[in-house]
Amino acid sequence: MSFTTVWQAFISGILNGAVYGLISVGLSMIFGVVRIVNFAHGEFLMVGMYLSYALWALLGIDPLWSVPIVMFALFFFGVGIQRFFFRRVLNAPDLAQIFLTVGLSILMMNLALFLFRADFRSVKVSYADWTFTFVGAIISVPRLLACLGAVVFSLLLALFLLKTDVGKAMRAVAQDREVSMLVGINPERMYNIAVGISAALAGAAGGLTISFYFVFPSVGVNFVLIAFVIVILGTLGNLKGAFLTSLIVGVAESVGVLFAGADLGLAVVFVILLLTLAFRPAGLLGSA
Amino acid sequence: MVQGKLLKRRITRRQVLKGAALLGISAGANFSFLRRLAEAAEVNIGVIYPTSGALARFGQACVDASKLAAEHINGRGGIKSLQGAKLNLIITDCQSDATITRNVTERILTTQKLAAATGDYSSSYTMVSTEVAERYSIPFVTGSVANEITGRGLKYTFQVSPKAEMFGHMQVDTLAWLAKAGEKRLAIVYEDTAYGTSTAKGLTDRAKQKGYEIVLTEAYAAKFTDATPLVNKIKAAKPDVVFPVSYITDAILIIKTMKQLDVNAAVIGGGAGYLIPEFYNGLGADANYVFSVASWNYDINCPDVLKFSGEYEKKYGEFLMEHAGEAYVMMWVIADALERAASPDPKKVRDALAAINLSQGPGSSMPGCHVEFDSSGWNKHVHPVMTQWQKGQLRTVYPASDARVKPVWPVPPWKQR
Repeated sequence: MSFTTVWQAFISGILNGAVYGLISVGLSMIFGVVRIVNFAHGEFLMVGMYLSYALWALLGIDPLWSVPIVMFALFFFGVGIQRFFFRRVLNAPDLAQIFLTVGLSILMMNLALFLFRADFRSVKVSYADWTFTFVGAIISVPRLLACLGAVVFSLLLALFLLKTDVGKAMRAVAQDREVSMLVGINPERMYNIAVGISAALAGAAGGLTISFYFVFPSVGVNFVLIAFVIVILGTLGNLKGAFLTSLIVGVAESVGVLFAGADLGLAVVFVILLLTLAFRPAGLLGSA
Repeated sequence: MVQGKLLKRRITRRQVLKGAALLGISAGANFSFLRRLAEAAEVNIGVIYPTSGALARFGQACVDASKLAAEHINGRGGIKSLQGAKLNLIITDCQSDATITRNVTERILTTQKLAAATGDYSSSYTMVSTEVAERYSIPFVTGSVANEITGRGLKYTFQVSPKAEMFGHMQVDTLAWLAKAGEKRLAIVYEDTAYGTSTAKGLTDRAKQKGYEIVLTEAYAAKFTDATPLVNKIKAAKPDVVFPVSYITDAILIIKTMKQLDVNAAVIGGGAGYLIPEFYNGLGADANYVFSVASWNYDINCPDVLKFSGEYEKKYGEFLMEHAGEAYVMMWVIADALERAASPDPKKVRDALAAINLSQGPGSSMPGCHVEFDSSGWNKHVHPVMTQWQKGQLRTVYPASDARVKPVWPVPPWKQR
């Protein structure tokens, strides 16, 4: 096992982990603010990917340039989902919430199947095959762009939450809904924005990955399982935790493939999850 | 239940005849003639494929091909021995799930008056459907490849396709035929479900038997979103030839990543994802020179194949994929059996299928161009073929008797393509 091989595994783990991060941050955010576990999050990603694909196929817009458009559209899509669906089960038992989001996931998947058939669609961009060598590791340009995009959007989100009034209000709602109402914050509005941002981030992830992945009705499943592991590992509702854990999981998966076997990459991740739950039940960044 | 219905119908016909005779008018004969015409106007064929869920991509193509075959059969005058009866397809979605497959198969077998059924494409569902079909004595024709399908002594199961174990053999045999330069180091990577595992086993056994050095055997989970870790491992093993057994997205990602990491081993794929339009759409020119074993291909050297594959492509905008091609052929096999049974009675259709011996027409268009079932119900003349992507077309290149073009070998390194 040469150094280059391990180094390559590490680098590709970071690149892939950042994309997990973008998906996980949105998932964690819905939980943190709205207190709902969104099993349809993978389908937000799927919608974003189809939108990005459509903009490319019909209008010839490069998926990177269309990321803002996709995010904008997905934001309102998320707001709609919150207003028409999530809002109605906020005070319902957990089971009702699970049924709602799982139901939404199945509905969206089958709608996509009905509208676009089960074909695997991909976009062709001129830079799809571009690579360069970084200290012996070969780096794929579209994956690097996706990684950079994920970092940028995550930082923007952090700035938004820390520096803007709306962001502060949102954190206030997440901390205590009643008290935040006392100081004049409208929690319903914060919920709308939170789900909107979460969907927009999933849309961004879709737009950033479609240049090297594919879109098909059940594509969300391939990403969202790992995202759930990540948000639990990184402490539910903790966005910084979600992003850092994504990088750890990406690397663990990639290096795990090298040392444990290619069908055991995920197993390594789950071992980490079990150990974390045993010793730090609130997640890596959680306070017990 | 089916028998009950038949019995009832026979009585009514007799009553009609009796009534006609009693009245003593010649119109009675016409009545019974008209009645028989109406009865024969349609023959129901059950068509079960996964058109939703994980395997929907292949299932939908199979349904399209079955429909086209029925259209062609009906268009040339239906089943002649049944006064031109038309095939009526009862299309059912088994939702990529074994339990649902059992339920839907049972439902259409018991509620529809079927002469025969076909489908499933995926072996695990076919195992279920054929069992149900056996119980209700409805002949079931399939293009699934698992060895066990016709190995269970079922009387109503007919398998037109080659068996799973033959695929690994074909992959290694092709290499033995191609590789004069002494490509000896093999890497075998396979997706870790039943399909990949069984194909990889046949491959490994044959490779060892033929004295190849296996430098890497690696199972992987097909849902990965990044093939870099796996290809990185392949690269470290330095193989001459890679044998990947993959589904769809993993197949494309493996080749894409091999190019990015500059892994210059030849690729001889194990079917599925290597044989579909997406493979070329997703990879473009990088798909060229990749080999894959197939149970069927749209350019095998049988007389009718190019014609019906061409019509399919014109209608559905993509080439006829292996399992869909088999679905088309199977509909003609069923039509031939109906023709000779001269009856929609499933028992008679079963006997006609068992005695089938087709060496011309669309129904014979499997590799080997001859469909004839052995006592277990397996098409004994069939074998897999080896294909290679050449200038964006998936062409059959081996065995020579099935091929219309020659393979490109050795495969040029990425930098010279």
